[in-house]
Amino acid sequence: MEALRVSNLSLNLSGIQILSQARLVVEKGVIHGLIGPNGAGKTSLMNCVTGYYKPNAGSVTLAGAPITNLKPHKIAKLGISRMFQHIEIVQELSVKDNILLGRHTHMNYNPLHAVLLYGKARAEELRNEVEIEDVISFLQLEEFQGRIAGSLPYGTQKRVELARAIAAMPQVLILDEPTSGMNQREKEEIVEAVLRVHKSFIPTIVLIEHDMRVVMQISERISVMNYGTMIAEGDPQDIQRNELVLEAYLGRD
Amino acid sequence: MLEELQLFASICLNGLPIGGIYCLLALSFVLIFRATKIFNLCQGEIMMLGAYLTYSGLQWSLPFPVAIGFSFVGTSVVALTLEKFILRNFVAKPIFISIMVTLGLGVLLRGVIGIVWGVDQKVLEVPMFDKMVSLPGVHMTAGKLGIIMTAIAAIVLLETFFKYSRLGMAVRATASNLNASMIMGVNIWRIFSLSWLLAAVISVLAGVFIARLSILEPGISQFALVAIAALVLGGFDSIGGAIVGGFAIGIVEALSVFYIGGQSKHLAGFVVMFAVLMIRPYGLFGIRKVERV
Amino acid sequence: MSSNSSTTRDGGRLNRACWIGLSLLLVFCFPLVGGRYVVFLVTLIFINAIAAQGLNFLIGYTGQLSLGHGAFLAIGAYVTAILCNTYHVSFWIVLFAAPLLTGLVGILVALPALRLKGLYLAMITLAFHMVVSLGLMSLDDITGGFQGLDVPNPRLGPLVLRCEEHFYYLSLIVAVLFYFASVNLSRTKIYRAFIAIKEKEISAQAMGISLWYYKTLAFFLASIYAGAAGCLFAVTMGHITPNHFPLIVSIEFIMMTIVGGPGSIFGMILGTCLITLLPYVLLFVVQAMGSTFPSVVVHFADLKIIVYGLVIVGFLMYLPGGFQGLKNHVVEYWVARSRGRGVKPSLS
Repeated sequence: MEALRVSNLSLNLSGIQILSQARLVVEKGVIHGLIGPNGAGKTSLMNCVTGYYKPNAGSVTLAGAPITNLKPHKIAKLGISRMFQHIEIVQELSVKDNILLGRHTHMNYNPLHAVLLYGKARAEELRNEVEIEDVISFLQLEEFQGRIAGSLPYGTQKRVELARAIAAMPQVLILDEPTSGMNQREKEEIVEAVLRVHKSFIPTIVLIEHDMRVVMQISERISVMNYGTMIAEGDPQDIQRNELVLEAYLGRD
Repeated sequence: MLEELQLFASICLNGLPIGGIYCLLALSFVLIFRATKIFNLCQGEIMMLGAYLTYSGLQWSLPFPVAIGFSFVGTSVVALTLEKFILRNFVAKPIFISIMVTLGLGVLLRGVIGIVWGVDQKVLEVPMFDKMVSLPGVHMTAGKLGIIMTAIAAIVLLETFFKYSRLGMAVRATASNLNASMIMGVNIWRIFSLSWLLAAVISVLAGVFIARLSILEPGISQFALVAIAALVLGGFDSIGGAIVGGFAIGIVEALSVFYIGGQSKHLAGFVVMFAVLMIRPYGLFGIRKVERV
Repeated sequence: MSSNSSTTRDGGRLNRACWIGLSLLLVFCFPLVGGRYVVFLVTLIFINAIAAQGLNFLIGYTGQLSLGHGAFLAIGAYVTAILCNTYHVSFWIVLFAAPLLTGLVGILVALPALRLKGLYLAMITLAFHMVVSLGLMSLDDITGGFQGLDVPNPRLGPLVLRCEEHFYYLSLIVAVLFYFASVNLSRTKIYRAFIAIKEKEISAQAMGISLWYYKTLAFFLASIYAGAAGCLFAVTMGHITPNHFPLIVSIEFIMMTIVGGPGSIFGMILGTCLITLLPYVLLFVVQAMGSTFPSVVVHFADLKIIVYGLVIVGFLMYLPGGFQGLKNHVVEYWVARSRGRGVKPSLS
């Protein structure tokens, strides 16, 4: 079963060909690594998948249903959740509110309910507060729940962001360089966390990563991008031995 | 038919002097906005100050050029003080905040002007203003012609200054990338002061013209708000756009007063501004910036 | 005001209910002791508090600067006057119709708001205010031009509201309802979506938040609040003219936000009290000084706007978070101290 399929995606931004004929098939229940040198188009590809960029050609399907050219918030609602490269949590809100933000699409009540805050709105809020408890304890954020997110250290903010992405309970979770700017110990923590997320919350994960060791350690499949297109795909052992990949990373001698 | 066209043309021509004033005001907004990214909503009050200082100079029976020179100096001092001691704190802050600050400063200045000069209407005499001039095809007072010429001259001079002088290039560099020009050794604070100075001088001219064309009273600061409509048409950071937008708004106002009437000639300007922002949010010539994640 | 953490919720609830009950009792009894003039002033505070909370949805929550809030107030007031005066619609219908109609106008203004940000949004709302206030003068067959319109005293069956006390209670009830509406709202996904849009507009969409929907909703709510305030203002004053809604009214609402601290309902209400009373306090001072310096009285209007300017610039320079920000800093300082870390609060 495939969870996410990108076929022949091309993207041209102000005259520069960012993606050309990019393909990607992510199987359900798999951690799929997406690697490639700087500027290879990994983040752009994910921006297309999540609706931020409008591709010039090609299509994206989520579990068989086309999502090309949908607005980002629609795609989020259909079940793709994303953790960004930079800290994107809302600094002004508490940690708990930030994680509840991940539950946004799961709360069905309208502004009138919210203004009256009886029955439906209150019940939905309480239900979702219960539902995020697992995620909070899973990422050991209990003690920070009430704190304002902006006042926490970098590593904790990253964890909050991960918690928010998980809380949405998406079909596919996209992690854009979750270990960037971290030291070795923090990286190991993240690796371990991603593996546990995979096991107990969200089976299908797309992982964009720079650190080769991290990718090789946790990915079951790996796709390699260069110059906006796929140059290789396979399991970690294959990729490590692939000539084209070595060339892309080390340059031609 | 021909007569109607002639009438139409003469109404348009009538709108040009006030359009010239909008050009000057729009220009003073652009100068500050380009360099400092601060949208100076108290420009109207600075302009008003210029007019009142000129008036006082004339009251002390200074000759007109001296009086206006005195106003240049006085207004510049006030503008530079505001820039140095208040608005410098808000450079590179969200534009949101500098709008509110300059709004506050505008209110403050209006109060001070009201206390110093009172709220009654005053007459500001400009020599030779009502002398008729006949050029081929044009028949208008020297003053009105003077306004149009001043607006065009100001824009030509500024364009030349920005294109060819070293300092002008430094201003442009600061406008396009603040950090980079700071690293390259441009003294950005001097650039900021220079922009405020130029804007103040241009506003004084606009203020004197407005005071003479209508009347000198605290209400004239509203002209600066109408000039924002010219900015919206021309783009917030384009000097060339200021001249197009200024004259266009002048003509629209003249046409609306003639064909629609109404008690308030400024209404047309604001309607245009509102409509343009509704339909083409980034101005007729503006470029939309793309934001990335 | 963010949603409370669950640890303090149950303990604090009783305490809070007591406080609310006590203060409600106080405001209900107030007209019995207060003089007419004071009752009128407090009525104005209620009305302004409604409108200011509306502006809070824009400035404080979604981070959209509106310089045209006074125009929505004017629309609410004129809709009330026109419906009551020209069409003789029952006031109790108007009380619902005025906010709703104003809300619809708000949606119209919001249409470009999705595309407009910062300077452009400020400018379109400024233009909107000018169009409305100049339009009110120009369309004299509908709005009465400079003369304005009379607003008949509202009646409900045998009950006719006609004196300060009546309007006081009417405004109080409406203000309390709107207050609870915004407090409720601040505990829901809508509040979180608003704040996310203010801070991280781009990534907010990845959480399933529709920018179009929530930005429009913010404008809709803001103008409903302003419309309700305008409606109450019209009946309280009994007569409205375009001179009641100059640009300075919009500036006053922005001042309430700045002084109270954007984003907090408590701050907004504090800011409303201070800014509504400011001109009257100033008038009192000026009149007291008037015997020794007669010229001061003449310049009252100018002195007023000078103080306004000083308040705006002063707060933005030295206390950008308003009083709510100051309070947060003090609380943070004490929390930090009690943890044994002597961190000094910074106000920047």
